[in-house]
Amino acid sequence: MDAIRTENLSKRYQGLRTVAHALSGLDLEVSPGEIFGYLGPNGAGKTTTLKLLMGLTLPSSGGAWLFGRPVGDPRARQGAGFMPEHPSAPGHLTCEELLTLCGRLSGLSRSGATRRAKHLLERTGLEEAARKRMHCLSKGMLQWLGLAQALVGEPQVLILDEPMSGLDPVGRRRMRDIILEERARGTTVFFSSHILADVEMICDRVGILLRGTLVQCGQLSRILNRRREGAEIRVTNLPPDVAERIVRMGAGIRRFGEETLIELQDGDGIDRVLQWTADAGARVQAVVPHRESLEEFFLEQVRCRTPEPAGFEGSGETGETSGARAMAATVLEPRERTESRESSARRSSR
Amino acid sequence: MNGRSLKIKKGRVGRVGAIAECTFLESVRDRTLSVPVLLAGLMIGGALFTRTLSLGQQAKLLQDFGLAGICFFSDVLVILAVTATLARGVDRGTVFPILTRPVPRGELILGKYGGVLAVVVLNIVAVLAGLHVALFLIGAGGSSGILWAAALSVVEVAVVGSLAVLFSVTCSPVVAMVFAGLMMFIGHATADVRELAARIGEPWAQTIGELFYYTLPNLEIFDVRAAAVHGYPIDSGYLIWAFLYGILYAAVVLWVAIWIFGRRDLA
Repeated sequence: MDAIRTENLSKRYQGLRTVAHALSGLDLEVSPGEIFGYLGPNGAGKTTTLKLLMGLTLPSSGGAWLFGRPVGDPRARQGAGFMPEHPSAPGHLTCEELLTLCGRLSGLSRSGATRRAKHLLERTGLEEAARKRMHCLSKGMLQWLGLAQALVGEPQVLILDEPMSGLDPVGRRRMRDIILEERARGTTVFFSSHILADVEMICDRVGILLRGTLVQCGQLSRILNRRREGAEIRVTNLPPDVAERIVRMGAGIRRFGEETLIELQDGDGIDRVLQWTADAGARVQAVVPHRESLEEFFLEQVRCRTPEPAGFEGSGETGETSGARAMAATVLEPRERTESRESSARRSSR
Repeated sequence: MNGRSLKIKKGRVGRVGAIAECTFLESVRDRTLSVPVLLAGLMIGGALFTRTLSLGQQAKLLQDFGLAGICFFSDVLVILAVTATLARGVDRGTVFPILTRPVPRGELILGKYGGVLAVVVLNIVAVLAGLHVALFLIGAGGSSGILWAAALSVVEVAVVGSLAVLFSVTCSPVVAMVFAGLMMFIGHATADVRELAARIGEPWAQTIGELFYYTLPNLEIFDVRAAAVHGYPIDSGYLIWAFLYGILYAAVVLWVAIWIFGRRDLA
């Protein structure tokens, strides 16, 4: 039985004269125990999907099931934990009170819920804030509390909307660790994110949603092109004649003091370059093969499927490219782009 | 804790009770909700200093002011509390931690309603106690009529609260507050509207008057202040009928609210 299943799930919002299709005909299966990354630009319909799964929004057509139960049945949520994009709770309750309430609503006794609340506050690093009221919490603390309340009922499926949002790098690492811990316990994790580096690190499968339609879905290792496309080689004390030979073969070279960065477009040249540098007595500091990253794949999907915006002119780019770039630019912050390339490089070098 | 080892206790009453308990805590901690109570207390306190104006009827004046304060400010309190916890909760998403549990939406409504009602009843009891202290200070005593009048105020609060719930699940917080407030005033005038419509003499006016009379809440039937203050006996049959009317009316309105809420997009 699938942990999450949707069949032709759609959501339309009817205005006075217009209809907005937030989600169109979503067919999706998520197997038990896997981590599924749900990607898409802003406004693609990711949050709409998650809220449909949790019964907060009602579908216009189609259906969705959590472990075989239709999402309209409150019992479907017995095994589910949900973390919204912007966690919030009644301002006058303390963290411990909120988690105890959530525990009791998940079916725990009062004492069981209190124990569970204390355990989760410790696990999410909020033990000091146990008696703080909601309106005194920072954004990061609210994010952690949102995760804690999702974990209260020991869910079989965790549905998280942008769980890394608002967290610092240490927090994002901790969040990834918790997700992996939950997967190790057999929990299915279904989360949406804009931070592709995190998705690429931990997800078994990803789905890409564009304008309410699922355009790609599958295992990361299958949908990403895993052929070695090129490499970066960092060496020191590279003689000029060897550098010239490397440039003649079509590679790029950049010098940073004593260090030289060789950028190969073709993975087949790596062995040759390494041989030359070894023969010349240069010291190889690092070899980083380039593979197509999730970010590159995602941007390509957005570029291919973005229609030309009307009346756009000036940049010399086609409307399709500029539109895709604009859409993709809303997805990643510049430092996230750099971070994703660096982490991709680190991962490839292992 | 590891594995799926948690013991699950099932129970609608338990869930509603848990929501009611937290709603009670929220409302008690919300300082803005103490304003109506303070105002009711001020009314009673003010009446203590009316000896020269009361022409020897200070006890009656105090009882009248006290019961009027209990009635009016309790209605205001229940409207504020319901819109704060429910309308604002839906608007800001603070009810999502509850609704993403295996909790039917109706149980959220009942839990919130029960919690708010508990706060208002507590406040009525507190103000009633204050009234009795004030009566004692001027050498007068309470009566069973005052207690029955306060009890019927609780039923009125239950009816007004149910209307506040209905508007909270259909409108924004401010609009819900305004509509519930309007119903609170209209509810004390439904008999007058019916009589006015009858005097017009047109069939359509009579129909509208009857429609208003039977669909809008008749809050005047919960007002037995005059009898309580003047020491007239209150018919037990009337009391039973008023209680049943109030409970039934509130139940029907809550059922409609739950039906609407169950079919609404919340996000």
